[in-house]
Amino acid sequence: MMKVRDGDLDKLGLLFERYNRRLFGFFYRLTHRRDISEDLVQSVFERILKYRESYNGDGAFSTWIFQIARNLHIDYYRKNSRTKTEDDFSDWDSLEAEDSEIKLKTEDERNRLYLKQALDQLDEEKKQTLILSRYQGFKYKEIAEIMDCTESAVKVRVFRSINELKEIVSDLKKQEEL
Amino acid sequence: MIDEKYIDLVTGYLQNDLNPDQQKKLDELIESGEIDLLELKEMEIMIGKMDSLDTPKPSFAMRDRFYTMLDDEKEVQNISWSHKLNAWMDKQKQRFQLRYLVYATAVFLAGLMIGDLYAPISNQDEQIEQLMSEVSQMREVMTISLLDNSSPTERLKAVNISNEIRSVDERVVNALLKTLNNDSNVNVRLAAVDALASHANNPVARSGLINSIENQQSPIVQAALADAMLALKERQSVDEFKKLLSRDELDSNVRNKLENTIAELI
Repeated sequence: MMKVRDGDLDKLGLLFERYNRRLFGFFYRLTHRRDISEDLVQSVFERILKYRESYNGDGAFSTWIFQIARNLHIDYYRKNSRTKTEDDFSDWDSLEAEDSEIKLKTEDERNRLYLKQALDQLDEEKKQTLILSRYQGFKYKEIAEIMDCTESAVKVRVFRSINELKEIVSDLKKQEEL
Repeated sequence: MIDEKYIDLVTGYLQNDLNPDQQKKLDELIESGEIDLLELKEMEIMIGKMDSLDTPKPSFAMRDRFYTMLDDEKEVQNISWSHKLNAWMDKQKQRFQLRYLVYATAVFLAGLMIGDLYAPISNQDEQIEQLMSEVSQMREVMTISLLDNSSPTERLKAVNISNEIRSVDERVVNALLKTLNNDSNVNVRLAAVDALASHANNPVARSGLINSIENQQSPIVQAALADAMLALKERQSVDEFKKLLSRDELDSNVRNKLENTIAELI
């Protein structure tokens, strides 16, 4: 990244190759939308280019790039929650479809759907914390840096969100049995 | 539910990041029943299940978009570099603009002179005279223009150009006198003394030199003026030198020189 900052823009291609799938995974798990996730990945690299001169090399690059990613998702989330679009309703439609299909699936498939729905019911901070921890492999300290909070706060979020997941999945199963 | 006071141990366990002491502590708490092993395992299983959720791969279009953007940015960067280069060149051009003007004028005049060599012999003397007059006028313009330059080197050059003018007009003399009396650089003022002395046949230049004696604070310029007055045998300067001698702060070497100069002039 230091070389990108100093004007060697070809090195940004290497960073893209290294991080594009991780970033895409991060956004996809938050939005469940391929098109939006790809747009957000593009936006991450646009911001890196725009603000490359402000990069000072302090801390790990991976936490810096995920800080950008997280801020972009926050912007997207705020914008999207203010203006409800047809896409939002289509998401609900897909969830309803998943509900109706649950009875037709195997137990493993059902468990995956319950978990997916449970994850979506967590608030954004808890969801991001779990995604960064479980899917992106960040340590709690790194997550604290990305999310601009204390390491203790990250641990509390992880602890509580797993318990919440357990409860939500249990409720979903009970609803199906009724 | 496991008590939140054990969050550090539980989250450390879930991330497989417990040190031996913490692991020992966790084992003790499980053994004593403070932490329910079943609940801990349920949490571990729940977080493990997250791995079963698939993520699709990004499309090739995303890669294409990125590399298009990168190419565009590289192009902008190249343009930006050329802008910087142009700006630097403009700056250099401005710096040397006046010098270029002088050189261009000199080349132009040289061209005229060479051209005149092929003119009919009957007109040659007249044309050379006209040309010399034009050169002289050009030098006057250059002198006046360069004397206002912020660079001492350029002003020094202006004073030297004035030495090459055959017969200076009033504007040049006044510009030189202004330089002698006001220029911040002592070398420029010294050169102005010599230049004005070389044009001492001009009464304004001569009287200006005499009048400026009283204004000078620099010992070296005072001494130069004394030499100039001696060379010109200018007796009217004696009164001015006497005024300088009445100053208590006058340099002792200059004082001796002025006394000798006055003695020789009288």
